[in-house]
Amino acid sequence: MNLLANVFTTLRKVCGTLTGAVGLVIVLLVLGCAIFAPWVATHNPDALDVMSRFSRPTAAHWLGTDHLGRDLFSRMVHGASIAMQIAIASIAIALTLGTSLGILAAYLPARSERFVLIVFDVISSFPSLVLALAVVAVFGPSSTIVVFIVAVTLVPHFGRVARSQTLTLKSAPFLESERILGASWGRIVFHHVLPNILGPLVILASMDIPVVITIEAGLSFLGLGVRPPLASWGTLIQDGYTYISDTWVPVVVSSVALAVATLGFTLFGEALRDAVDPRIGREH
Amino acid sequence: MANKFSRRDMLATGAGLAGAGAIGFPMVAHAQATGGQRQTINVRAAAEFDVIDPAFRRGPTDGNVMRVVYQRLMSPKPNSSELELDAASEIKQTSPTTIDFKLKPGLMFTDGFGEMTAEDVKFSFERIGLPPKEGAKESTYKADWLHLVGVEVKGKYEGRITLAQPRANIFDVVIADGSGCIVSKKAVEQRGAEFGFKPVGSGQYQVASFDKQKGAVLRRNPAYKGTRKGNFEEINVRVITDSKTADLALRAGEIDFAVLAPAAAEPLRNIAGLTVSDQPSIAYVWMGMNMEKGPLADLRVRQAIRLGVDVDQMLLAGYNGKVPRLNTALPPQIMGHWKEAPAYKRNVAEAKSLLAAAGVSNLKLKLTVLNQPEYQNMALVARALLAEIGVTIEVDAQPGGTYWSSGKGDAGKNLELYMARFNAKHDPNFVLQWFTPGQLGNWNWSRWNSSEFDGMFKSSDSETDPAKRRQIVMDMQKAMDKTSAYVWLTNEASALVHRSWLKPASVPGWADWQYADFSAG
Amino acid sequence: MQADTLRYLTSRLVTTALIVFGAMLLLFTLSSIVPGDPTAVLLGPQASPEFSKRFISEMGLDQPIHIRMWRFFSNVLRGDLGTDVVSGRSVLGMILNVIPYTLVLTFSAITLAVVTGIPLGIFAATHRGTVADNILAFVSVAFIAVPGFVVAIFLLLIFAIWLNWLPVLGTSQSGTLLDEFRRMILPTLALALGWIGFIARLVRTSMLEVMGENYIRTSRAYGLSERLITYKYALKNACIPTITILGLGIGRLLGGAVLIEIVFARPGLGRLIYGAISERNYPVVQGAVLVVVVVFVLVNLIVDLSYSAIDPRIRHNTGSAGAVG
Repeated sequence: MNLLANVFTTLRKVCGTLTGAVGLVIVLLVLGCAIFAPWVATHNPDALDVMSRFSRPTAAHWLGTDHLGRDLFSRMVHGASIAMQIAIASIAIALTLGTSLGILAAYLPARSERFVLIVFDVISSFPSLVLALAVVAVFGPSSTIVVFIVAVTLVPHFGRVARSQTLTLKSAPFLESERILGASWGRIVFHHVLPNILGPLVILASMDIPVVITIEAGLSFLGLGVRPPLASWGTLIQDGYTYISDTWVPVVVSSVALAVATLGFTLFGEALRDAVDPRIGREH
Repeated sequence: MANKFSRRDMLATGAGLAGAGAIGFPMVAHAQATGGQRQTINVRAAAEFDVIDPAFRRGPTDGNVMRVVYQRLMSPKPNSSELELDAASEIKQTSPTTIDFKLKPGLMFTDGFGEMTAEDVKFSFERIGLPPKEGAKESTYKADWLHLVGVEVKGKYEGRITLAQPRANIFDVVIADGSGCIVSKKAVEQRGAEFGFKPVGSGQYQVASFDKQKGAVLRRNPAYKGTRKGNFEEINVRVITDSKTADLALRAGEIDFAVLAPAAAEPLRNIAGLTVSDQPSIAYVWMGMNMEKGPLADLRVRQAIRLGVDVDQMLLAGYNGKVPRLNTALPPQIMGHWKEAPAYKRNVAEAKSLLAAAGVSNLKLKLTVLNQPEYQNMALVARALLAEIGVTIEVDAQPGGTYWSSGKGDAGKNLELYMARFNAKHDPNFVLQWFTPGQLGNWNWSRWNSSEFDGMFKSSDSETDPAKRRQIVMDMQKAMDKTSAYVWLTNEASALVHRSWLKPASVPGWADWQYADFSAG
Repeated sequence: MQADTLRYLTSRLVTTALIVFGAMLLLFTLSSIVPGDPTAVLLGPQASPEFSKRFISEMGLDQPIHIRMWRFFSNVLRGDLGTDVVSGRSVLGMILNVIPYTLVLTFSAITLAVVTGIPLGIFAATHRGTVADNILAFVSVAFIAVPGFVVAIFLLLIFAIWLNWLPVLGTSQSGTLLDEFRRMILPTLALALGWIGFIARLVRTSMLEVMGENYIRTSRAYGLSERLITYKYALKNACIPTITILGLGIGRLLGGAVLIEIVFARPGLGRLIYGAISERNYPVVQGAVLVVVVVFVLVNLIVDLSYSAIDPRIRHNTGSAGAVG
């Protein structure tokens, strides 16, 4: 009950700012395309028609066709779907794993905590390109692999924030009293720690969605992303770039789609954080 | 360096041409001084440098530089695959297994390493063809000098090459090619590993500077004694791996010559100052089937697949339709090419009936390709076409590191369909060697185990009568066609893009360039 | 006080060493499970199976991991980062050859990003809610969103082809310093654009957070000028997350600017690593990754240590660089 009211107030605050409102609109648009892709798209994104490749935008093909005669608009819409699937899956995994490790680290004795932090740093310092190439070499390129790579790269990110948030919380008086009263470790974590740290983490997560989408684009450009004929935005940019001399429409359109989606999620995430962070509201 | 057009001129030109339905790129290249005044040319290399040493060279980037830094006993004439004497004043095949040669006197190595003698020839060939001495590395090109017994030094300039078995192609593929380059024995022994990027040869050019990722600067060798002196004082070989960047560098005047894929060269055709000429390549590209895997073992299934695809449509998707179709293993420029090879046309009905006759339905196959756009596109088209005969294809696009081993060893047994592209040389045995039983588990990805083919291969390898050899080679191609395990696609084509005043030179096929014969004309 | 600092430093150095060890262990493990016969790519069709076997043993790939790691690290301590089996050159030599290009590009990009991003961030923070702030928001995020290689190609088309103001190739062969400088402009811009946007947003947010803090309100109450507050206190503390990000950024850029290097045909560490992995040229991969990891960890160590200089309240926090978000 309380939660719902909180959510509504936050959303109202977000829409209060121009950037927040625009962000929210874009996010809804992208999510809409992602969820309703088969209905929003005008054609089957895989249907190829080599004879009509590189055609300009027409009534039949709103954004023209690509190098194999596939409808660009439909591929873009399905691209939103793939981008969202990958982003949400990898962030969910990283969030879960990272948060667990972070909370764990906060409660472990110094030695073990240090070990966890070292693991975080090993992952952060390891060139992600090498990791991506190695993993793709073992398992072959696919969306699952992209999710895996991105999730692994993001775990330290969430882990550290979870840990520092938990540390701050640990010294809070109400937690102390719960411990003294004999509450089990599990109860403390799930009933008190988690709900309190989840807020900032979720906001962080929403701001990571654009990061994931861009990482996937880079991976696809190097040929390490999703399998053909899947139409991720990264693949669309790569294909468009390859055939840029034949038509500049695909690369521009897919870059714009990527930029707009990133813009939307970033603005929304920032507005969300601004709305929730008490310090920013207090400036004047 | 570039003459700057005024912005208004460029806008006007760009707008005008854009209106003419062009892509919208500004259609001007920035002019250079005309060829007659140029002393330096900039050439694009598509891959990084590794080692400029005949025994350990890696790719064409190394190879093209290698062939102007070192001399060979014989080398191809400008723009031809016919051979002429180079470092040798005389060379004769004195018996099926021996070749006598005599060097020209006074051929000097650079950096003060003295005159070329038969010792250097012996050293150069034996370090590649014979097992290495203590501590030395084995050469990657040992197979080139297969059956080499040794090189005997008979005098300061005379020597004799002895083979264990006759080799019909020893002149074309070995003596006049990369593995026949003559290095300075003293320099190799002195410089060790450094020799690879500080080479010492007697050719038309020497390496003034070398950087693996950036490129090499070649400067004319004043001590070169020969008739084909280089026409330019300096040749800058710039490494540009991305063809888009090469395109832009050509437009901006930073590169004078590049070989691009025809589709990539398309937008450069109408630019003033640049000439684009299409040259057929000597590569061979095909879609292959693993003859030992499951339903593919049945000839009818393979025939159905061959009839289910449309090669012309695939080439349109993969290469913008700018490459010639190939219907047999040997590209047209190679001796023994089967001109009358059948060009299979798509026949959905017959394909379906073949599958039905073989009792196969709902066939699911994986098509393994290298993750470059040409092959991916062709694979996607094949996938759509084969879906119509009831075969479901999963496209497996692999990056280079894993692709090249996908047909080898145990992994190769699980290969189903694949696409491959090999580089050819002007010798039919070189082209056909990969399909012999000896290459099972290595490069014989279709796993064709034919002792009959092997027999034909061996006899054509040592057959010195050209007419007889041609017949054997024809029969080999016919045998391959009968297996229906190879759907031939193309021998590719290259588009040469260069300043209009520049005349590049290469052995036909544009795989082995001849830097020394590039001229301004 | 001194003994304290010394203890902290030692502990951090030990941690650093452990991180490097951990990263290399990860690399060696990956390399032993990654398929793809190095000889197939490196040697080409000419190589015989016996040759391949000898090649593999030369690379040490037939040994178990702990032996390989032992050999590797004992060589490293002697200054030998390995030998490229293909060309026979020392890996250290190959890296040293390439590193100047990468370092120069990285530092130019970061400098440009800092010099442009921070003022933009300050402006956005001090003009919160205005039209200018909103425009900056869109522009910053647009910079962050568009992938580097797309930016690169459009920069080339506009500045090198259409306007003909700048050259295409990112490095020169004639060697004059001016020429090298000219050629570095576009790659630096392509690399820096995303960071400019990122830093601008980061500085804006951090400043807004700090400006709402208690001690700032107190300073205001005491009558200190707004300007002083902005620049002396708010900015100084907003720098902390910025520096953290920059620390991470330097490490990433060192090994990760592959796409920019490829598009501009510039030599670089990223290309070296990418090429070596694609070819399964393990000695080169190992040496190069070691360098990247060590630089990354050292830079972050310096960043952490510099926190104390900036904010006296932050001193010797626990463990590794994870303390501050």
